[in-house]
This record gives sequence, structure tokens and C-alpha cells, in this order.
Amino acid sequence: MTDAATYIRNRNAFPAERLVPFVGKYIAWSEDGTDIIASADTVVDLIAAVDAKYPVGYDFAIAFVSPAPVAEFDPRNPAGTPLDQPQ
Amino acid sequence: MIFPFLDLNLINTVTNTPIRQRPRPFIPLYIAGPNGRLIKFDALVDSGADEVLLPDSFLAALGFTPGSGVIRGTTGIGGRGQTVYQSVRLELRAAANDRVIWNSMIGFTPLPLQICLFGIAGGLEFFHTSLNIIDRHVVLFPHAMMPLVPPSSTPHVSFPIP
Repeated sequence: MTDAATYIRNRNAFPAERLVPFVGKYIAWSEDGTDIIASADTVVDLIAAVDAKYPVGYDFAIAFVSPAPVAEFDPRNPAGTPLDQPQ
Repeated sequence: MIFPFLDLNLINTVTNTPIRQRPRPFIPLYIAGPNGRLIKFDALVDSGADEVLLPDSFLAALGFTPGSGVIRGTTGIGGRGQTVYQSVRLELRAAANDRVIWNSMIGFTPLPLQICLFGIAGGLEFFHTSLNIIDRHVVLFPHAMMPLVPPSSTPHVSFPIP
């Protein structure tokens, strides 16, 4: 079993750009948090998708990929703030 | 139990680019319902939330019968709705030998909530909680009054719903 701290750090190291196709969807993270193993519009569909590929008891995690709130959009800078810039 | 903050990515759907990365105190919370399925979900440690709250789309995934549970009107960000309260088993795991399990009554809301709020009743009330914003971690230490459930050796657990 991957400990929680390692799991979260792996999630944090995941490239944000790779989340773009999953905006507005539920996703399933792999047991160690290094990869996305499935996505779906609903939780029930997501669990079914994981069950189809992995054995019962596989320790995946469910998360939702949020779009930025409208207030975050800046028309003068539509690309937004680079991620490596201090917030 | 120490959990590092999770970097929450916000994505601009106009330009399809990630524009914000905010560290937030999300913890991996395990939830089990009557079907015995153990579901791990991102839960936001939220001292402003009255209780532990999930989207009602989780009711079916956890095996609850439609129409069952205690229904109460609740108000939150997003409006007012009829929240269904059900008994579940919750679990936090920092490591294989460092975990706590407890039974709790939590709410399932129809409001537009896509994350789990780990609020006071049924959740934070059982922990000494410390948020370290500078070092970006949250510390949860089980309270002596916490109604602990002995750990099960199996990943899937079954228990009677009171």
C-alpha cells in the first residue's frame, strides 16, 4: 500500500496539462497517484469502468476535475497565470 | 496523521490551459455503505462545514436504496436542497499501520457539490486538527472520545446499518 503522503505528492507531481481532457468529469487515480486510470460523467459509471479493468479491491481514488470559476478568467490575459509563477 | 496539501488545479475551459494551482487541505477519505464497497474520495478539510457532505450521486455507488435515509432541508453555497442522511463507515489511512475507522451519519446533497466536505459533525469533531499553511500540511489526531471501529484486514467491509 502506498502511504498517503507519497500518494498525494505523486498527485501533485502529475502534469496539470494532462488534466485538461477531463475537465468536468470524475476521474479515477491509480493506487499510487501517478496516473489516471479511468474517467466518466458519473461516479457509478466511473466505478464500473475501473471494475472492468482492475480486480475487485483495487485501491483507486475518485476525484473531480474542476473548471476554473468564471471570476478566474482575465480577458486581458486569457492564458492565465503560468503555474510556475508565485501565486 | 499528517497529510500534505493537495495542489488543486483549475483549468480555463476557454483556452484549455491550467491557470491556477492552489494547495488545499484535501485528504483521501474512505467511505463504505451497505454494499460493502470501499470508495476513496478527495475530501476537503472544511471547518466551516457543519457536517460531512457528499454529492448525492454517491448514494447509488455506496448501495443505498433510493428513498431511504433521513431527509432534511439544508442550505449552503449553491442554494437550498433536500439532503439525505445515511449511516456510513469512514476511514482515514496515513499508512498501512496508521489508520482510523469510525461509523458516522453523513449527508448526501443534491446541491452542485463535486467534492466531499469533511466538516464538523461526523468528521472533524473526532479529531484534533491542525492546518499548517506555511508548510502545507494538515495534521489530524484522533480524539479520545472517537468511537473507533477495529480495523478490518480486508479492503471491503460489511456492516449493519443502524
